[in-house]
Amino acid sequence: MFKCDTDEDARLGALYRYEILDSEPEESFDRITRLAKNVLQMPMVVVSLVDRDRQWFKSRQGVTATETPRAISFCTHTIRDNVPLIVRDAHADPRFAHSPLVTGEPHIRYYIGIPLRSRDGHNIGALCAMDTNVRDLNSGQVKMLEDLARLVVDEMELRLLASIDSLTGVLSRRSFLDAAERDLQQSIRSGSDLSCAVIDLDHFKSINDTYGHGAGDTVLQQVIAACREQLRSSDYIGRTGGEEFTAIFRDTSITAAVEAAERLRSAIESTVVELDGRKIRISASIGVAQRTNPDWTLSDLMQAADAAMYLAKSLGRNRTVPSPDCEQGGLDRENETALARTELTAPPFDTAVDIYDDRNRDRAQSHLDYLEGARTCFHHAKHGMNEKMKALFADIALDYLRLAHEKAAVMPVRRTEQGKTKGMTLPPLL
Amino acid sequence: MTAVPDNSSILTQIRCDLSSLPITPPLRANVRQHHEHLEQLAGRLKTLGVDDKTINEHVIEIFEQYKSELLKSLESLAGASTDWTEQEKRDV
Repeated sequence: MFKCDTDEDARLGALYRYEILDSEPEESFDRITRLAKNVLQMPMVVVSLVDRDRQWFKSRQGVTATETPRAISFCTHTIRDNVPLIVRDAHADPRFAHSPLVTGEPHIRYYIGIPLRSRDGHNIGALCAMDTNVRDLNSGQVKMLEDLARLVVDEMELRLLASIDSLTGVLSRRSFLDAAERDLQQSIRSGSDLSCAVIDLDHFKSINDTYGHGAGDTVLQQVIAACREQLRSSDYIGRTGGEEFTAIFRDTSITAAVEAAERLRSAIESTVVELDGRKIRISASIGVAQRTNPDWTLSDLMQAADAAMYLAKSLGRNRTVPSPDCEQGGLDRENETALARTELTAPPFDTAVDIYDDRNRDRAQSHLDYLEGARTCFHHAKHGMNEKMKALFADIALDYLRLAHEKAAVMPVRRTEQGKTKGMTLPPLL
Repeated sequence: MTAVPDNSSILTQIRCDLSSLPITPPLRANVRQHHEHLEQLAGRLKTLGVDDKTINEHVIEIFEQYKSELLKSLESLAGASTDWTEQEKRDV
């Protein structure tokens, strides 16, 4: 059953999923168009993909242009139906007689276009053969073009399948990095904002250990499905590690990206996975960064978000933290310090005395891990610890010490594995 | 003069080439579909009067390109698995 494309947004969504627009020429497609050109003795054959306002040629034989405006294209008519469009003589067809592609270069007279139909039923472009003279193709020749159009879609599907993580349906690591790199370059050229969020599920290993890897897979699927509902059409997400995902927010400042990431975190926290009558909940720690330094590579951007994610872990998990590396457009230092203070005085710390109780030693440990974690996270792997981060860390550390001494007269202790206790020392300041 | 193998033996060879690859079900479905479409193309070219040697050349060319891309896809997916293992060690 064929589906006509009354919904242009859905059609464009299907096209964009292939991530093929503006990609390099590929021999796989060129061999198909060359075969059509040779067997049919057609001077021009193209694989045309119909974007919102243009048609772009993935492969072209006998055509010099790489794209044309959609408004003057033949293919925009081809994709309206699910059968080949044949224009025997463009001069005699009122739809095309005055097209600049007919009255000027490349002087199209004969046109045949076979719709390229995605697996989900959208016509995303066409395999087209054109001549400068009036022609007629027999039915066998038309069917051969249809065979070739199916091979074009097979090639596109193959690339799509390789780009998708089969468990969660989001982009695979390689495809995500390719897409993010393209977007980074685009943001550099246009001067637009680009932000990313590294999302790491908290204690995911314990789900695998407790319920088995099958349960872990189900949790990943449901959590990511919940996240995808929160993403705008311009955002995308990739599986960059076992339980680590990275989202790219195009044209988005860090302030807006933190809000978007917080929606993802909230969606994850609200997800309840039911398995064999048991309910499994999970949370995520998210770090967010914006490309603020023009020299930053994609790796720098992701490292900044990754460091912020580790800071979120150190602050107690299940939270969204912006990168201290983001100098512009994000939180200023005063707000960053306020954020850190808020974290320090959050409920677990209000019961600081409790944390010295041996029954809560895990919490005590996490508080003591906090400073070390913060110091590690603020120490950017490539750029070291800049003045701003040093100052922020010093503020946090001083707050920690002050509160620790106000709320507890004794230094925290922990039991070693052998059952003895020993004093814990705070990590040194810088 | 070397005898030109008919199209069916070329397509059988292609099927054997692909059957040995360790591929996931979605990729396998794509491989099967691509093979069927190649078969249809070979048959169509024959009815259009194209000789066996030329058909074989075209079919093999298209197949080799497809296979090359398929192998790249498999490498990519295998690479991702390795990364996940490394990530799992980092569970905080």
